[in-house]
Amino acid sequence: MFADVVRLASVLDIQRTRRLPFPGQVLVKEGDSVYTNDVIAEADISNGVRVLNLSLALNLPPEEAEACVVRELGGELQKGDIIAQSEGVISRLVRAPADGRLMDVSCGRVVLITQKITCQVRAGMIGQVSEVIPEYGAVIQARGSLIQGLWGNGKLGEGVLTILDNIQESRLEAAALEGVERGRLLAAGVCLQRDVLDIAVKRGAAGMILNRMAPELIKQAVELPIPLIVLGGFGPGQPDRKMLEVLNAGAGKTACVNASEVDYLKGQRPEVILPVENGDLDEELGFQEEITVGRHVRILSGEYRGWVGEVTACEEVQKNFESGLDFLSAAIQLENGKSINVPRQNLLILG
Amino acid sequence: MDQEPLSAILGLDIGRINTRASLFTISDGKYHLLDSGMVATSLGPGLHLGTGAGCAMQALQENSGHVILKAEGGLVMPATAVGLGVDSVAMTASAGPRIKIALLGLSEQGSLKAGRALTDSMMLEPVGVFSAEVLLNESSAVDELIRTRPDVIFLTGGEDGGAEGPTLRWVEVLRWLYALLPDQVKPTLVYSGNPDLERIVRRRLEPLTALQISPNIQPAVDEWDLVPAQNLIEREILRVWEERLTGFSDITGLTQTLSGTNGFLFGRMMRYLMRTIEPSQGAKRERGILLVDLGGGSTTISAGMGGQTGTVIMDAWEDAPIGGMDDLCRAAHRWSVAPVTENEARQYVTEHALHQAVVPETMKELSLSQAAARYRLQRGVKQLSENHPWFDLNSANLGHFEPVIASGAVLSQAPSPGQAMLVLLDGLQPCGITTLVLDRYHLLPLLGAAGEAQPALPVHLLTSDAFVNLGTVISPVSRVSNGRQILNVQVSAEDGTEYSVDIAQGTLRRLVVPEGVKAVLELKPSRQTEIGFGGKGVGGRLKVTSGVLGIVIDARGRPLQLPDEDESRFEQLQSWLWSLSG
Repeated sequence: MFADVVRLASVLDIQRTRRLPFPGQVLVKEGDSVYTNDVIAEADISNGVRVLNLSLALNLPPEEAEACVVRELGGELQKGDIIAQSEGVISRLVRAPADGRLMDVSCGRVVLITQKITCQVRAGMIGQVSEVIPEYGAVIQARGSLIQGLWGNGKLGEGVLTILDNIQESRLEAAALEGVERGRLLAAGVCLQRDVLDIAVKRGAAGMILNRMAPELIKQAVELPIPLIVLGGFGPGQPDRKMLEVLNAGAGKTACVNASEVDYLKGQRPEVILPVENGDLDEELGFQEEITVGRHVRILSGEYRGWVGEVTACEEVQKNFESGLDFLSAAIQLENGKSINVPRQNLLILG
Repeated sequence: MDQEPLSAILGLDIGRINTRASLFTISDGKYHLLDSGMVATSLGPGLHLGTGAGCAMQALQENSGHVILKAEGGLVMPATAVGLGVDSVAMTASAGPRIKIALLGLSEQGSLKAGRALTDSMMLEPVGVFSAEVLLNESSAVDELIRTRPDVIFLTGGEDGGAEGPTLRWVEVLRWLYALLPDQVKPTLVYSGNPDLERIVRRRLEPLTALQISPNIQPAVDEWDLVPAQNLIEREILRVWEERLTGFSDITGLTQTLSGTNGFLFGRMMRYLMRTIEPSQGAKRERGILLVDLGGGSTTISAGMGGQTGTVIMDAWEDAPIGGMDDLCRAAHRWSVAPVTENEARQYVTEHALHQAVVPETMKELSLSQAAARYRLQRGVKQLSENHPWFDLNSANLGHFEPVIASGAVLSQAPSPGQAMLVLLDGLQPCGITTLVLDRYHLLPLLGAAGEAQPALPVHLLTSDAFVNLGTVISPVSRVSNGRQILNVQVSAEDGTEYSVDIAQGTLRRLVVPEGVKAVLELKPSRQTEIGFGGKGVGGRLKVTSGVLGIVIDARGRPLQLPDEDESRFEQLQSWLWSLSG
């Protein structure tokens, strides 16, 4: 049976592809160092359509009005330029209302494009450009620790990783934020209070990495101007020892947060990357892996929901659970030494 | 010359959470479900949908003993002997993403209402709905369409022979839009409006983008014809899924044309069933059919009555978890049979939105999943009635829906049939007379696909034990106070059982008649009570075949009222569950 994988690795070669949805300009070259918010590619789409009724302005039928256009299609215009001029004793003029480009002349009307919007792709991590995808983007690479989460508010950021004292405890209080320097990426345990998030922003935090968060704070988290990532979920749970080790090893170093939404098709999860130089590489895992003995897992149901442990056995016979339903189960040894059985569908692989 | 019937048909149901392989074989001239196998769907980077499908087929092979896979990989096709191979493969899928669509039309109450009903019935995500009012500022319309970047633009508006001006303006706006967008992100355009404008639409827009034209979805005022446009958009959805889901095109290649999205095939089965319906005996009004599916990722409800049909597909965990799902959290707390706090309900709902494959391990989790299922049904019924005014499940005056065929793991895997029935009754709250049927293996959409190759298949399967008759439900509607008698039921079963029962307002009663036994019910409602026989106080005789739960009289009133106080409410819900033998 396969289960979703949430990466929790001390040392990995991490590659991320960033690309535009349509051709544009790539702003980096192979070998360039990039930071999280760097724009690596951009493309423009024209917009700001302005429609001028030639027929009305020149007091002529549509075909005659169109014949009065004195500019080429596609031509650049500046505000005030004459676009059309009627003949006669009293000549009427139609001028460009703004800088732009002449896009269309039809049905007695002239269409100008006066603006553009720029679509940008950012690096989303600290690393090096390993490959340029011409006109579209690049592949960014870094060696580092990778901690993925379950939910993010869609923002990017980087800063010096600061582990708040109570990461292993249950609640993050406002007092823990006193004395925190600006530009810090704050890692903490459980956030249950609205004011904590506001204070973090006021103190100039670069982002927040929370083990767990109260679900009532989701709307507020979405509106924060800084990235926020939830690693373990919403509701009670237990911090993962390995996660704490990886975070603690990165304390004081610059880390990046890409608090993107989960996208199963792209294999995208919100994540924290801490660049490291040395260390044995962790195992490469896919977006889903099979549940096997030895897997490090988080439990998603039952009395020990949110706890982590190790798979010690995969039962081949269905077990009856308290709900009255039968499922294939796995035996899990928790970090406190206790052994329990959990439906295999209710496990998340951490690794 | 009559074609030989296909001897073995493989059905693949590729859901967001699970993939099921089912095998239909023929014996003594009748098709039946031989067996099935189910595994988690293999969806994601580096994964191939065929891997999950292959594992499901292996499980099917092991369960059934029918060999369908070659040792070296691939299917044994065609079937060459009994127990060996398959003749045909059909597929239904709901694993893919919703395709972004922008609706362009004329009026909110006219073409756009029909357009919304169309988009709600398919795996589509409306990213913008633009009426003719928007044309007052064409620039903003173009900017908004650029910003939302739909995959498909659906242009409708104007009855046949009707207004042309606004639609022609839309055509010009779209010309500008397509001139501005890069080729890689140009949306497919579907035109489904006044056919008098078809030539102009083709001339102005076909050079600029992939244009598809279907008959007008609103050919006359208040007259809808959504099916041709649905057919066209379905092909577009499947095309996009073939691009975006690794392995999907391999599977559709196996099925040739016997494939479709879940919701679309649901709608097809609804139209098929409507053609086969017979008027219910004793009823003096029109009869309809209701199909519901509580899938892992979405809720699908399809209804048909009087020649009209409609479908809605809604995400199971809408806006999850960003929106906080306040309504769903409140409903999960309110409808949980097991005592839970608001906090527990909110945590369950929020976590489940993140991990949709999780199954209920504890009693509380089971109770919350069933509570959420009730809410999903209530939401679906409400949306369907907003889209289709002829649909009103909760009014005894507008006909009744019989049968109701339901599917979904929360129902088929409920620990007892009483729990499944209670979820359906609390969620749908039907009035009048209906029969609740459980589609244990989510076969209806598959039958919608496979039936194209073998029309006898749905006919045979619908009368097989793959569809379980939970029971006939009589829901009298009365305004009298609780405790007062509103109905007398005289039961005469073919096994000789005879008895009479008085039903009081506010009660839920189960009349025990062995499963499969035919019975005649003599129904005598009180003067203020309507049971679906043509008015208050009008009774009659009803012939039924007893279901798993016998016959159920749901006199709890409509809409269902629950105590606000937690403890009283849990007691009330538990007592209802006990009434259906929990």
